[in-house]
Amino acid sequence: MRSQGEILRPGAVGPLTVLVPAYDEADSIGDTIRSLQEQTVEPEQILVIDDGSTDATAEIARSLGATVLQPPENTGSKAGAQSFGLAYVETEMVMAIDADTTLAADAIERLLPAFEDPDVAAACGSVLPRNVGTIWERGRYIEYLLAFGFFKRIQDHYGKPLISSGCFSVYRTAELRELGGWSTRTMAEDMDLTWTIYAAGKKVRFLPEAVSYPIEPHNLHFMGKQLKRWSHGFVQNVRLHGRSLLGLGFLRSVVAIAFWDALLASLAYLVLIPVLAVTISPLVLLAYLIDAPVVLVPVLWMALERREGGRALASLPGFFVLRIVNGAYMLRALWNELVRRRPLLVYEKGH
Amino acid sequence: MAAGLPGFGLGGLFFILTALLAPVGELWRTARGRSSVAAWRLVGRQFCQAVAMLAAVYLLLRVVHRGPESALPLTPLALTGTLLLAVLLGAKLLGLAERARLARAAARRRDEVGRRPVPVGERSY
Repeated sequence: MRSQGEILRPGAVGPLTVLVPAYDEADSIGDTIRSLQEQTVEPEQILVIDDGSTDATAEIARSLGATVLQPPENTGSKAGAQSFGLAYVETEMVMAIDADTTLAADAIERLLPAFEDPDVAAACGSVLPRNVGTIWERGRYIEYLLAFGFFKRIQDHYGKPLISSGCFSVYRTAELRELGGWSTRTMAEDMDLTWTIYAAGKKVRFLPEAVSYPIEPHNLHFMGKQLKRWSHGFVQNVRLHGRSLLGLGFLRSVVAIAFWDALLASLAYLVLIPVLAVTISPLVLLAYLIDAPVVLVPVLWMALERREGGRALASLPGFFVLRIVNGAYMLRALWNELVRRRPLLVYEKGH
Repeated sequence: MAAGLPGFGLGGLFFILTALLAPVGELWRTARGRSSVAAWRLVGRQFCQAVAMLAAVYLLLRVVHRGPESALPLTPLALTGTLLLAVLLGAKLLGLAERARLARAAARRRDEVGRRPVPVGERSY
């Protein structure tokens, strides 16, 4: 039974606590808390985990009525802060949201119907950058339109969304605790948790109408930090969950394809195309844009639904730039994690 | 977070194919009374997108390959398709191998339990 477009029946699921891990988020946490307070289904409690901030994060959160928790020392990662907060949750449902993310006013209401199925342990919604200005934000905007407009909807149809996004997801508290909360063993705690849920025989759902708006990296410096974390996190999770994934048909296929695509496409972008351009003809460089018409179909589809067609067209070049940079980080992660056996262990905050 | 590299290589082709196949699965669900209008709306949306993407590929190849002969240059598509098939087959074989390994391990455990002497107090007659 699909729940696309469904509205929550009153009393269908229990009350909800929101966990907001935060480290030096004074500039954005106010918007996040206000957006939570303006939800059509208001959470019972908002817990901000101030993970050793050196700015006014805690004061701002308190002034807006959120409960602020402070670990005795910096936990070292978002996952650490979230797990610290999980111990204080007393409601049936718990939601994780990044401190730089806001929600559409009905996002929680749109997401909760997923839990009318008792086997669903986690649910996530669409993600779109809040700011779409720089080439990096524009690249990410197109990437998300593609992912949440096409790929993820199919994954959900086949019952296996690849990741329940870390920036905005809801979980059943008891099951989350049973699975150990958010682990710090990889750089991608959301992917780790999602695959752990599948391995435990539970379901994850993606409901596209529940929309969140995080602040995405606006320059190469922060984008690099994020891509480094994500690429290493992906490889670490493939290594960690490889065996358990083998028993999960559709997910096994999606992960295998994502892995080989990441390797082969990166090699093509960064090695093959430049070599052919030098040795055969500079026209070979057009290969970087070869899939542009195909990318445009789902991107424009979702953008037009949102009345953002012009913005999507103007953002398209950023996608191809971001993809090449992404390829470089992916190759480096594969090399360091699998060949040199030097895993990334330090969580560097970007966005 | 996102995984892998966005675009339309192996992943793109795989998701286009799965979107094209989705109505078949939904028909099966409908026959068993487990479908809904919302599910069909989603399947229809993704199916139409996949068809539009295939049309885009066709037009692209037509534009790129404007030679005198009418046949489309299918080598890149065939290469991607073969690669996709190899990856899917490889993953499937690994899955089967893992299932066999787990079955062997379970059988070994059962054998060990069967051979273990039962303490007097736990014997049942």
